[in-house]
Amino acid sequence: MRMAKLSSNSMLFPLRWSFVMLSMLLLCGTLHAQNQSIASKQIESDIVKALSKEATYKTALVQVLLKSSKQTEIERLAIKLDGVELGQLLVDHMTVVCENPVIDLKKLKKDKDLEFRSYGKTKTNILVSVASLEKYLQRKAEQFNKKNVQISLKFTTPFIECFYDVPKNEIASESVELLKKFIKGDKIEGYAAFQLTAKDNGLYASSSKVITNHFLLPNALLEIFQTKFNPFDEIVVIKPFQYSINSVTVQSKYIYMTN
Amino acid sequence: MKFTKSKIFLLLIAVIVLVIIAIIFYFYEQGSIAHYVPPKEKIIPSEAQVLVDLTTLSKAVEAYYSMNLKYPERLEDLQPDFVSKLPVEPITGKKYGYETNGTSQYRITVPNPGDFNFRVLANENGKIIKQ
Repeated sequence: MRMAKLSSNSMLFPLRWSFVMLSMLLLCGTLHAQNQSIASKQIESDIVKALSKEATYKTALVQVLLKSSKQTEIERLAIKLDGVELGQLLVDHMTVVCENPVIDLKKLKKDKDLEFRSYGKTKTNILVSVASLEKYLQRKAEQFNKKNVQISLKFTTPFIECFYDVPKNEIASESVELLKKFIKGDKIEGYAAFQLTAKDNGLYASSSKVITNHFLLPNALLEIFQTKFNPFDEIVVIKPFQYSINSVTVQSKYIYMTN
Repeated sequence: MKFTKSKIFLLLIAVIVLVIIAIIFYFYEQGSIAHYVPPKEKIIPSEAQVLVDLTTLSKAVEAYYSMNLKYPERLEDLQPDFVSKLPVEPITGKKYGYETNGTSQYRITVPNPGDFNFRVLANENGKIIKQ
């Protein structure tokens, strides 16, 4: 009887130890994951505070994924800003994703300053809606003291369609000179279909079709306009990021720009 | 009937005037509201169209990521914000394939790459893969 009890105890002993060891491992794993989550949440919160000093935006969302081996090294940093102002252009959504960036975490924690020692592999995406682009063109017109400029836009991939109605006296004299054959009354109205290209943060519009006061403008005239006028400013770079927009696509509801 | 120099000259002037009127009429007629539409896109060969579709879908997937900080679960999620209509493979009319891990990788595939003499024809994280 005693022998049987002993043998049952000796069978249970390694089992109990295995159970204890497994529980310890699980506990350590959970604590590590919890610590990592607390550390990444702290960095995320500090980055939001740092960004609010550099940019004007409506909402910010930061996601930090720390390396599992080291809690001071970031594997992936994703920042999403909604309603961000890049100069006069109000961007609906902007995302910056960095793989293996190196950030001065001490400075971030102490001064709430976001400073990159290395950006790693970075992808920057910018989305601009029809309403934001219309507002931008309106702001540009107001900047040059042009009133009663009516512009409405429509995105038809790969074109931006523009319906315009502008008083003659609001148009630059250089443009009036070029368009004089087509201006009959006191305003120019019509339609334009144009495409966008981007290079080194510069946005350029190239007209594929322009109708002014019932006349289809010849290509030779469009080329002159293309080389002389560009309604777009250079895309503003928000500190502390570094990006160069080189690709632009017109989608059904947004213009998508990326580096 | 004998053509004198002056008659030939008058005829030439008349032809020139007619041509000018025809050109003006063309530009005037093309300027009506009925022509307020973008220029028609050129028809391109199937393989080139597939490459355009893969790039269009890839840009739309990345734009979706920019808005949601995650890739779409299926290509249908790209409508209507990023594409008005999902393109289909031009030869078979089949839908393009799609898979993602949600946050860092995605792959858009051509259903029958053999039709274009490839074993694999895809767009992986924004890069065209031809094998």
